[in-house]
Amino acid sequence: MKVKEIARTANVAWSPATMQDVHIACGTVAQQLDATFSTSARLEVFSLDLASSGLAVPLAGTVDSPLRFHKLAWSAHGQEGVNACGVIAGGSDNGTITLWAADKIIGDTEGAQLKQMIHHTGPVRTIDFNPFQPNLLASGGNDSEIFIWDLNNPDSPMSPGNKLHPLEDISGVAWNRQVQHIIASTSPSGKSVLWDLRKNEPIIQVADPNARVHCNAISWHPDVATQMVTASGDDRSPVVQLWDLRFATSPMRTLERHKKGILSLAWCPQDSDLLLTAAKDNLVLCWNPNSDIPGGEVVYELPATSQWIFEVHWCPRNPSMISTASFDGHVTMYSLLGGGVSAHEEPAEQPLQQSDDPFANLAPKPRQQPVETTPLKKPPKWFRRPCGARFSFGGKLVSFRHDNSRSVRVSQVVTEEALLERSSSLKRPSLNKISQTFVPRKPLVQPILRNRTSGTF
Amino acid sequence: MASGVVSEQYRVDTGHEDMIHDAQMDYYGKRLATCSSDRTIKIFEVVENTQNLVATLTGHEGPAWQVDWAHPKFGSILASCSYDRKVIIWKEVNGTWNKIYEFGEHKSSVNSVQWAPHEWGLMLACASSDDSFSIVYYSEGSWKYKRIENAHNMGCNSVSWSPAVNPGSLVEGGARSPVTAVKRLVTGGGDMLLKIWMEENGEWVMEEKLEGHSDWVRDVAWCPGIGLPISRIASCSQDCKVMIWTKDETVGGKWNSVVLKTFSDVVWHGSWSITGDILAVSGADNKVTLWKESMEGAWVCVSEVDKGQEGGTQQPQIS
Repeated sequence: MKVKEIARTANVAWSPATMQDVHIACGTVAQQLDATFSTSARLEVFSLDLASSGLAVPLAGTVDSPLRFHKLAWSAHGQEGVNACGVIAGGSDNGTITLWAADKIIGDTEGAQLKQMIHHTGPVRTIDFNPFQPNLLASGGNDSEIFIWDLNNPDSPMSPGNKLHPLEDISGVAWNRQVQHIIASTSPSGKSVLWDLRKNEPIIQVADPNARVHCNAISWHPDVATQMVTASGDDRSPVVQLWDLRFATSPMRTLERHKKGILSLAWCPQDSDLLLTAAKDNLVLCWNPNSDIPGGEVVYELPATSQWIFEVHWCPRNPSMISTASFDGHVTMYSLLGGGVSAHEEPAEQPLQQSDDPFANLAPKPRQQPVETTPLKKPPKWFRRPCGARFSFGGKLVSFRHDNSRSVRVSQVVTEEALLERSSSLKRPSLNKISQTFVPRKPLVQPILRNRTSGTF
Repeated sequence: MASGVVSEQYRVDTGHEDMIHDAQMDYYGKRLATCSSDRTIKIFEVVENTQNLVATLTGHEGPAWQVDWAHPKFGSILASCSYDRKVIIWKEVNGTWNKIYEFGEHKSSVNSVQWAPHEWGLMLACASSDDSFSIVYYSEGSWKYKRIENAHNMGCNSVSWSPAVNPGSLVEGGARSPVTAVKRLVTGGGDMLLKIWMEENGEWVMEEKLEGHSDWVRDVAWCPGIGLPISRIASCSQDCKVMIWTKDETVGGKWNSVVLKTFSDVVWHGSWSITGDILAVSGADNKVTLWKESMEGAWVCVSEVDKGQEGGTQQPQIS
């Protein structure tokens, strides 16, 4: 269900999971023109205040940017200190990657822009931070250029290996989620390359010889180091392919449901059974990529919109929130668990900013009303309690845990050894003789016992 | 410092086809109810180390998250809650279990259900991911409910009733009636907060908001009272911490918190013993640990349930 909405056409990055207050950064999208042919750009950070009802999101800070963005990413790098919120990186045209200190944007202080790194020869279409070392940033551009930047030493980036010919644009880079020195890149020709940074060379190249795929996006499995997905933006075969690199001759699984090319994909880091894709058929689908149903299992379909959604993201801090960025001028946040704003509450139209597309105002597009859709058929992993223990009468403890035996253990807990001694001394005298020496000393325990055994009150 | 002895008595092979999410003995410790992701609830008779599957209750359309036995004075009644947004109340009549009420007003998964202290009647509270919690009660021949919306953002994960005993009634002698008329409960949510609610003039209002966790509150448990002027709540969270919140009526009546421990993984469940002196904590590392408050006020780990079973602790010799 829709939870929040921001009226921007923007690339989006969520604040990292280590940051307690959830924020979302929006940067003006490149390659989108408005009537004034303005090329102004802004990076804005919104704070996701879930306590307030309603769709509006308060703006936490904004900074002007010289260039518009193709991609944004937010890393936890540099998160020591009281207000450190990490670093936001944006890939733009002219080969520029710009870095901002997120806390300075939120705090509205000077000097938010940290650095501009210009090394690529063409537009920087894709960037990704290393999940293990948040100071490492990978970027991909034209002519098979991939650079790995160390934010502690950003002047000399390294390349992951010799470029493979023929040179082509890099449409996606992604760091492996389990092994920190492996990175994958993909290109519109359908070829994906895996690089090993320790050896500084490409280790494997995968391409599907049968399908005509125009790979737009690539993502690694959150738990299994050898599996990854690529998504095709080609309208003739808009598929998501799941590869296991141990058997890299053909994809392990193909998910086919979209009718037009896929623009973005996102794998939930907390639950590998949830994969989101957004495509040119105006649909955002949530798949279970690990199920064996032929053609792929769709577990959830977001309400359809009127324009393409070009970016989907999972919120790292709060796994049931996702964000979608659409060409209809909105960044929308959904909760996959129900709750949130009801379908009838729509906010008053916010005053337009100059970077918004004024064409949108001329003919009001009929934005489809959000429909009540059923939640995920299977609860996400973060719902399922694996382990528990409950006390019961008589000091018994019933416990269970996540293992294949599906058994429940009943244990006896005694913490007062003195009491145990006394209770055992009760049993020692023979049954014919009632011990004269036994004097009840614990009034609190006795009344409870008496009531329970008789079953009356 | 009290030492703990945990000895495994027996295991019940539930036969569930998927993860078990809750297991609870009834009031007398004679029957065990378990619920699972396989959407069923199973009831076993466990007497003298034998186990006997008495019933398998079907009816939920999604994983069942929690079960709770009602007080035996109402009969054999069990409540269950599930991802399918429902709370189902089951009753055993002449040996057969039947569904007597189905509560389906929630819009999202119902994560937790607990019967209120029996002194307040046949009443339960349930917490749901749709940010609300409900009180369902039987009065004047029919089931009624009250739904409290917008309790927590990002879902209500857990609910726990306060004991019906008035804090302080034990030490004050006959001055105050032992059973309190004011109903209270605590809820924990995905907004990292604990909220204490009380019933005032027939409506439920938030009495107190407790902050301290830095991630989802997974479970809340109000310590059973025996009449001492201390109220205590344990909360378990996704931030791997268990916090103990104490309100001492004799020193001003404000809630103070202390971190029991920061574990190595998410803590899912906390449960107090019947007398309220031991807390059993279960976490994602698949371990169950028992904690007790020492004389100095610090919390010490009394035992680890797994170690007790595999290592074999000293078992007192009872001849």
